[in-house]
Amino acid sequence: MIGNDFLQSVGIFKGLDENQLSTVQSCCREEQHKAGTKLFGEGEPASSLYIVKKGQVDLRFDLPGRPTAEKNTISSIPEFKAFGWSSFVAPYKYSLSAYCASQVCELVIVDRQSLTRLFKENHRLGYLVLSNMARVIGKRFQNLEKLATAAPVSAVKVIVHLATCGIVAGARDIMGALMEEINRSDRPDIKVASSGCIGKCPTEPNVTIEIEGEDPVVYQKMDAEKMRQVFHQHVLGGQIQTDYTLVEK
Amino acid sequence: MIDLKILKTVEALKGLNNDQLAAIQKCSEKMEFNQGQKLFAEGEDSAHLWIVLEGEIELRNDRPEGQPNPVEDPITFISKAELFGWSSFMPPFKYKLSAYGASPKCEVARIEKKRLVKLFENDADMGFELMSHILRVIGTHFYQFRNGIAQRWGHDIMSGW
Repeated sequence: MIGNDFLQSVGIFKGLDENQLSTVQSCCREEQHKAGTKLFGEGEPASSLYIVKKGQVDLRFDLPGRPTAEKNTISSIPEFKAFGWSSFVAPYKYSLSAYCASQVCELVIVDRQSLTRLFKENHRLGYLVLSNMARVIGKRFQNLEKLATAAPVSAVKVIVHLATCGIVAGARDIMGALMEEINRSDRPDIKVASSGCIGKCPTEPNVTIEIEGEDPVVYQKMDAEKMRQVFHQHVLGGQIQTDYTLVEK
Repeated sequence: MIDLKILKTVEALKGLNNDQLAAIQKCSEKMEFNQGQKLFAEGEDSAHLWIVLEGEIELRNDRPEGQPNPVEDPITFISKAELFGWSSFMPPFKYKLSAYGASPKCEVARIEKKRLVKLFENDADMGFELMSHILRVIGTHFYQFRNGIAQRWGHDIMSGW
């Protein structure tokens, strides 16, 4: 079930009232996919806008004769963010391919034709959503420009272990704090992934930091505040926070 | 005062009626520039949308020292009845390129974005019409830029770099 409270937290629907959100709901459907599933391919007709409800989606370019790979990723789309803007821009064909990049991706799919029809019937709704879209695309544009002009940095992946034991211990708060810090930082290249239990339930919530060319570091008994500290000191600053690292017994 | 007949020929404004065009006319200021004269600079706050009324405008990157690039290196030319300054509608609300007069006499209309947004809020039909056009332009630029990156990275991977 797609609730108004979910839609309200998505940037493109910001500022819509309950009635408008309920109308938008009628154009949405939900889908769930497993890691690695191709959601759509580059060049295919763009008939829908997608919103990540849970998990992460990678937008990648495909290379002839080669399987898809993380290094082909142009943008990683986290929870509550939308993708598939090609559905609103001529020639209405997806310009990149989309892959489910987390164990499970829950997606809200907005049918372009139905949404466009709504806009034509209700110009105020259309104006609000299109204005929001312009702002969101502007921010993406800005991030992409930074990524294209930035000096090469080591590939970084932050894995939050989101098994039941981790979630019970507060892993969702950690994921939330991590996404906030990434959004505030100038590092849209940092990848975020969720994964299962690492077999250390008493030390949950666990977070693994993988930096290209270095050994992975597992942190234990994390909370939102520790996550922010690890992000700034380790991920951005290169200083492993040994007070929180997992001690093998 | 800007002639309504010219506003009627602007592609982005073609869906608007006479009253709506007159409202835009009231937010507009007519300005004149000579060839090579700067209208705005890359990185400045983009508080206006612009329409070319006469002549031609050139958009290009500035060199770091603030000098324009050689004339053979423009990004694009904007002709009569065309709109530019779309960055006033998207973050970080700063011009991405500098604009210079590209013909001996350039006449432009400068529309204050804040007043335009107020018009849109009071007249959602006008807002929807113009935002549809603005989104198409912004979206097209975004895709062209992103495709350029994908092509460059793809080429590097295929070349084994």
